[in-house]
Amino acid sequence: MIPPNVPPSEEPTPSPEPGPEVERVDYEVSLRSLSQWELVWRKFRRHRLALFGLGILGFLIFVALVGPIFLPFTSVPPRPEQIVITGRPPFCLKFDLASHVCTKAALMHPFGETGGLQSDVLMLVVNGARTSLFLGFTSMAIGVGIGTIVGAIAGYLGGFVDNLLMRIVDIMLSLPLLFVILIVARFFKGAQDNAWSIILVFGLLSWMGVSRLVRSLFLSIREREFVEAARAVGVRDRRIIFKHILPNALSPIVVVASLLVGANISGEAFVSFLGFGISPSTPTWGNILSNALGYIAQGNWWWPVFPGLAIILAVLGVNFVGDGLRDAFDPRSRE
Amino acid sequence: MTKFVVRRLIQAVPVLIGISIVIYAIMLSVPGGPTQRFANNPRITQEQRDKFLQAWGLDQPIPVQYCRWMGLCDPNQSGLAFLTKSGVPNFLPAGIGGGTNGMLHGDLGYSIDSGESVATRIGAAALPTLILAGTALFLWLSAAIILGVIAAVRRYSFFDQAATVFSYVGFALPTFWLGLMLILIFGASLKILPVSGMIDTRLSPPFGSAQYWAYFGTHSGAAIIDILRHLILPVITLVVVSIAGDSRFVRASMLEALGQDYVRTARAKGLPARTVVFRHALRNALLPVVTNIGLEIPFLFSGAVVTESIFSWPGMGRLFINSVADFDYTILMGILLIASVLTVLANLLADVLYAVVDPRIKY
Amino acid sequence: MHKRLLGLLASSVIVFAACTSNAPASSTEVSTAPATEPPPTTNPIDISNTAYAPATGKTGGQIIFGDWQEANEFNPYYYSQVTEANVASAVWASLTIATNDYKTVPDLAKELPTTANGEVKVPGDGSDKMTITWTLKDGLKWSDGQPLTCDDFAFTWKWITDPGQAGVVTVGWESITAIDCPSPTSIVMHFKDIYEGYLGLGTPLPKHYMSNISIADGLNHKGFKPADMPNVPTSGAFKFESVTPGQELRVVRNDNYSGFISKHPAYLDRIVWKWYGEEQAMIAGFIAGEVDIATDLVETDIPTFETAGKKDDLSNVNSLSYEYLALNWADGTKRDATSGLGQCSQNAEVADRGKNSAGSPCPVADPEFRRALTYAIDKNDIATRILGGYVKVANTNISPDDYYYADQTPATLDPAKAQSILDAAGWKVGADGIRSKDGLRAKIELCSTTKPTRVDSLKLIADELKGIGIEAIAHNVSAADVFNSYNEATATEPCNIYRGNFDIAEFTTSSSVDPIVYYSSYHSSQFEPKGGNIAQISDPGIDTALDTVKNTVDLATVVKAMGDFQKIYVEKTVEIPLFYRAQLDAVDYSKVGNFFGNPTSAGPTWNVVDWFVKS
Repeated sequence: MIPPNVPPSEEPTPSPEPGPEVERVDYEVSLRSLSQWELVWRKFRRHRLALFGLGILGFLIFVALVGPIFLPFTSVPPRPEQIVITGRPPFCLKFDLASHVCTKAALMHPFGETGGLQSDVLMLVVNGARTSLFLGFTSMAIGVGIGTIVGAIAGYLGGFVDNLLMRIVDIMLSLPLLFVILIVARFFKGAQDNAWSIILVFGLLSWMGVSRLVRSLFLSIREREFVEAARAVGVRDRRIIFKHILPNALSPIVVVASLLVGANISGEAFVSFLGFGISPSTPTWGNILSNALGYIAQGNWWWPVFPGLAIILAVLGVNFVGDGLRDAFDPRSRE
Repeated sequence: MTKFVVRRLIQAVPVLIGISIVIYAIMLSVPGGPTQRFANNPRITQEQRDKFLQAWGLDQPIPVQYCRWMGLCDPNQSGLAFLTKSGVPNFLPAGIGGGTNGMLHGDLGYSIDSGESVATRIGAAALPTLILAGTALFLWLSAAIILGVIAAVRRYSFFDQAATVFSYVGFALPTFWLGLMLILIFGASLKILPVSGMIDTRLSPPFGSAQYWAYFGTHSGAAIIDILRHLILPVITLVVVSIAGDSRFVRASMLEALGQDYVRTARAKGLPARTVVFRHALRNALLPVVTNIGLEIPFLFSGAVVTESIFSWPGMGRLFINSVADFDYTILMGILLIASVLTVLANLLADVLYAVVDPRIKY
Repeated sequence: MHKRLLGLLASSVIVFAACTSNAPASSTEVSTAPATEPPPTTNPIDISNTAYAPATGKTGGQIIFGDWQEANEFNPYYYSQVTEANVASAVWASLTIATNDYKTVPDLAKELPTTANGEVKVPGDGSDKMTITWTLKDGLKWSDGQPLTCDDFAFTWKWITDPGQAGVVTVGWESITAIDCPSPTSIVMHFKDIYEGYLGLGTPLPKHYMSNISIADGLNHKGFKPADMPNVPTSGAFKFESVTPGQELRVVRNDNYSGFISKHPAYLDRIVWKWYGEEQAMIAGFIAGEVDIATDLVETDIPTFETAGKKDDLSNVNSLSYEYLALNWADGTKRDATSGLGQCSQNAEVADRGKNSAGSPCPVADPEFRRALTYAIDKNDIATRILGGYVKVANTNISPDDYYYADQTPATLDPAKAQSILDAAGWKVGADGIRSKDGLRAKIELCSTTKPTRVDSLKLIADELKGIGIEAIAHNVSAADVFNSYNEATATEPCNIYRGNFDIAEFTTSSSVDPIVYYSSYHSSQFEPKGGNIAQISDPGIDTALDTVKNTVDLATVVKAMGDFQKIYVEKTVEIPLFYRAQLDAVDYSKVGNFFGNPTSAGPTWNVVDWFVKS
């Protein structure tokens, strides 16, 4: 679910102008200045959770790209030897619904089978990875992109422009998610066939929080001495915005972006639950999870748990990486 | 600052009008409407449906409907009738010959579904939502602050990392799934907690009714325990999912505060760690958190939609979902209007608090 | 929420039966018919000898009834959802009532009017086509003590047929030219047409309460708002105590009503309706013991009760609803571009199928194509794999419990036969395995809603059709598009059935105890928007049979005509029924006595007068 608001600011941390760094190595003394990015990477590397998160993300992306080759998506699975309306648990050949006991195990369906047509849950989760991850990152990119630009302009220019933009933000913020989804669904008929309508909806609904955050950062940073200095020297506004202020505002934006990816991925489950999700012929973690709802009470734990775990892993991964980046950009964090 | 606030309040009026126009226009141009209820009954002829729309004034063009809803137009005449039959502008009070309809006269209209006045219906739903979302907000903020402070003070420790993991896992859980699981485990299987509603139907009258307050007067203890028992599961659902956002924020804010020079000074002076953390750092760290709360107020009213629906909690969120499904325009507009007023005020509050907290910000 | 929308629509379909047949059963038994009709040759069919015999209970107690859709509309002529029908059944009585065994018994009336007892006259008195005389029971009173007389029925008729009225089914009532009241208990209805559903014309509205409310105000719920409900006089077993929107509704015993079989007022003191937000939450609530009865369930919920050990708490009766594949008969050659009349699927994905030499882009219009479909679709597979075997495969649209049901030879699964039918009809297999005939490719659109069971069944069907050389594109769209009303939909709205934008569509509809219902769905004069013939079926044999049914009150004639109809239904493959739905309620039988599920329009609350709490 989309967080009700994006935390408007983890307080902006000023970073001093980059200067030479001394690197100590045994038996040798060398003077080499590390670039900003190398610094960041070094600090990131020390952050265990962040590396772990990077590993998770990498694994998920790998599965999304390669998995469907080994487990192609079939919409109609072959007729199973045992028809159970609830589906069968992992590694189970014969399942007794009354006693919920697997009477005969077998090396098949490591994630179990869904209810209804009894599709393989592993196959669904692997194929769903693509759409879910794509959805999460793309809608974040749209939201952060628009939000940063709007917030930067509003925060830097101030005055009338700031007012106008923020009032527009107010109007957009008043539109509840459910309402907007309904409108989009009714206006763009046939939109359920692909993920773009959801991506658009999430993107268009998340930029407001980002813009408020960026605006407050800019309002604060633009009063600093180095900005004044840049202006005094005659640097153009656009350059000031993008080359001077924005890099200093990066770390909270990164955290927010990572939160957004997670929110969008699990928000997709919410939208599927409401009935406006992507049509089930394209599996996503969200719509697999919401289709499972009617069967949980029948003891079918495996159908929702595995896509749920996938969502959790993706959210964890992306947020750990975001945390790591945030700490890495913060010059005061210890190595 | 005062000038700023006054200016913003004045600006709020056209913003709200703008919001209401946008929402109204979008809502009414979406195909399908209250006649959806007849959609599956082929014996209701199109003529019947047209008459139904006419009776509710829904066959008028959108600008006319909006105008009447605002109270600028007289509904008893056709078209855009800005003047009443007595020649007085409609938006003036009825006492001097104006109209009685619409927002400008405090009339939010009547529900298309039940005929009840919108104000009554929303009013009845507001208290339950306040109770649920208010309790949840208080609890998750407290938990977020505690978690955030400890995580910041013991940065990179096992606790910090465990708290990080826990809060992100909670954040990733879809509310509907968590809610349903809690219902199944604690309600259907273990049977120790109630599954729905605010009160036990076998014991007490429905919440909010006159009989209920009478019952509450005589059986206060039992009534309070009843509501508390019903609050447990929905509040847990809301809290678990929302802690993450705020606890990370508190943590970052604390880290920022702990890195300040005055904290270093305090430590150098030899003050005990607890004093440093709570008396010096925390109070400053909380200021941005507090400004954040302003933005979470709209969530109080529309954010708990799914949770209220799953737990059959009779609040605004559930009312909202139901009216969206039935296209009950009048109630929808009422709820959206309240939500937008709250949003505008909350944003204003947050902006004011930013400036108070961070003297570098100038408006 | 899709569940909500779907539930609303699915249940509205069931209410289709309710609204269309205020007549739960057809006309009277055979006997001295007018001389113009041939003498009957079959045995008289008795429609009122019900086997319903309630147990005796004790007075007192309350029962909690759970539903996941809220009832807001309490006027018995305005409701549109099943949940509202359930409430209405408990508080409003009619002249007759439909029992759980499809029989009709008198409720407010003393006896059923028949031609035998002279109370039905065809042709009628004077210039009437038909005259019906009802005799009310003696001493009938509303719940507030006012007498219930013929005046209330006369008022009701005027109210329904008022030109300013909206959203009311006027069928049957509009055939009445006048209602006379020779005495307070005697109602004489004068008809200008023969309306054979007359037994259903009979829920009186309280004149003394409603005569002061204008029709226009009534449409705005005046007098029926939640705060007003305790003051509304009712005629049935219960009356309103309180209505709390969003939470619950309470009704208490109406001492002025006596049961239709048991002849005494209700046992229960009170029934409380509790509104849940989600179906799964309601089921959990039932299992947890929060409610005594839970209604509006679906077949795939049955294992949930098995898992919880409450399998025996399910009341499972054959419902009058069935799930079927509507086959669009239109051939697309005379398509009206603005209204969409005469079209088949306009979906861009199937647009490349081309047209045959007659200019038709619609493969389903070919009767042999349709016939082949019946042999290719595995109904058993759908019933077992997707619905867990909890439904009964259907081969006709008429429920086997309807009195006019005629057995037909069911189609058997035979893909080889399907292939040979297609070959013989000229559908030749192409290089890619897909057939085409005369330049038209065998490519069709399968439409349905997003309900998971329908998503699965369309997948299965598409797979099976591929096996016989038909390319089928499954398209599951939101119910709001599929069922969007004619006026609000456009000709190209995805899968909209009222505009005919489909080749094959899967959804649920109802048969009825009253066969007058089929006229609107199958007669060639009843294409949208005039009637409900969404599949644009046009067959002279069907037209003749349905015309006969419409214009007679003689039961034997009806049975014969419906027999003809059902024969053509199979021969010409009018549509493909898949399975009969079940009507499921969860009942705590250890607490509730005399609960019997009722698939007719009367619903599960038909006999609340006899419900009691077991000790």
